[in-house]
Amino acid sequence: MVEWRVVQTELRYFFREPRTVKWVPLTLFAALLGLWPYLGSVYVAVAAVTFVGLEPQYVNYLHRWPGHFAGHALLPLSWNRIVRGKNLATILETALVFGVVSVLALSVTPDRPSWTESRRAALYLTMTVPLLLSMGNALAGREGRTGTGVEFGDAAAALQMFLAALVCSLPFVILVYALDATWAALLFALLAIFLWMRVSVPHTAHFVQQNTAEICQTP
Amino acid sequence: MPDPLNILELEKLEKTFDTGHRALDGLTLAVPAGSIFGFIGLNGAGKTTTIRIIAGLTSPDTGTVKIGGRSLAGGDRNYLARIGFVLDEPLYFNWMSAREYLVWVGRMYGLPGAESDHRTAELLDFFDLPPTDSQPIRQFSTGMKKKVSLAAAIIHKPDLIILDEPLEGIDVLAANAIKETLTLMASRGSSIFIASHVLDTVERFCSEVAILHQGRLALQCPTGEIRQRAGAILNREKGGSLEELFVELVAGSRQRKQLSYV
Repeated sequence: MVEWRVVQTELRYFFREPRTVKWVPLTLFAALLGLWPYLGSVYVAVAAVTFVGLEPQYVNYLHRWPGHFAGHALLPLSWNRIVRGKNLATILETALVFGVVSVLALSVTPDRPSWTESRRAALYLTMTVPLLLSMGNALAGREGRTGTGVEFGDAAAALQMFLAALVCSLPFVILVYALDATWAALLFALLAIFLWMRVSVPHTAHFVQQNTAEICQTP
Repeated sequence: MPDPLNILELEKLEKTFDTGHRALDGLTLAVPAGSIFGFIGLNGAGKTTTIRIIAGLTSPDTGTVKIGGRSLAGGDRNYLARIGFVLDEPLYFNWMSAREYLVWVGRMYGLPGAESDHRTAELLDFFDLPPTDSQPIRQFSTGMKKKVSLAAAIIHKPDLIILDEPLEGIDVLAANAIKETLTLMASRGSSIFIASHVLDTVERFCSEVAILHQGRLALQCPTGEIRQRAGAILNREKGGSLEELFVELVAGSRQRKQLSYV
């Protein structure tokens, strides 16, 4: 199954890329931020760090290393399956990073989150991740940068990702905290997943298919 | 009407880059099925641009590309399953080991797992590449990277193999093995398209040759006719070599320069 092969490759690269070391300062930052009492929940810090750290996987997934896109373009694969595979890998990486950073951040914070808080964190991810994937898909190919590292473009992209995560968090804040309508939040999550799968992925695949040569010129 | 005897047809390809450089100026050529086709030209003649257009990595301003008689304009990517590419760029997925990369490419071309593993093992052995995962491709020498690239291009036994300077940076023994492999594949029905500027290799190895000059086809003929064609163009009864023919066609109109101090 092509999608699974793509997922495997993305995960393998995730664990091998030398920049994985960036998670050390990011996790420390999440732990420190988690100590701030006005934040409300340590999960807020964990979510911020997770999304900022995974920005390349969300937005720049066609250009993770030089020649990445062209390497796929030479193979007889449908872009639909490639985009879906890359998005699925991002979901797994998000779950993994969120879990690991949570454990590490919680190990240094004095307060233990309640069961409700943890359930809400899971609901938050279910609502926000499809929105961020759809946003990343809309930008993929249009704003690609070849490879990612520690450069100005990466810092700007991380900031952009942070702002996007803030905006995508609004439905959760409104539905869960302001209106206390968990059922509506669940419905919203289902709608977001549906739109990601049925609109965002095919639309992105079509765009990449139509603009393969242009995307290959990404500097 | 597409000719069923041609595996690859290019019709009036034109490409001008944003810099104003006109890489292709109405290139038309046909590659006979089963041939070893040498595509030669000076640096900057448009060879790489032509290959990138065939691969879909660069879009032409005008013109069409047909593989096996079918135009690529429709956006169907299935034609890529029939082709293997060795491009002039650094190898893709160079953070993988050669073994991982070849297995992965084999699976992406639709080979079953066991078959992909078997062909990978055979290719690694054939090209003297490390069979373990201890070294990523990016740590390989240029020649080794080229071998991996070539192995990936032929793992799915394609109908058409397109190679951009395939023997550059490769030692004599490996080059010889590669030429033998390509000849064998051609004898079993595959077509080979080689862009090169090493005229000796092309003359001895290819069955058909095309000379590209300033984005246009200057000449296309079977290699066996080169001597006769060169004789006709150079006005010589005894004929001439591909190099003489090439120099006449490509540099004939230019003023020969000399260094004053030599």
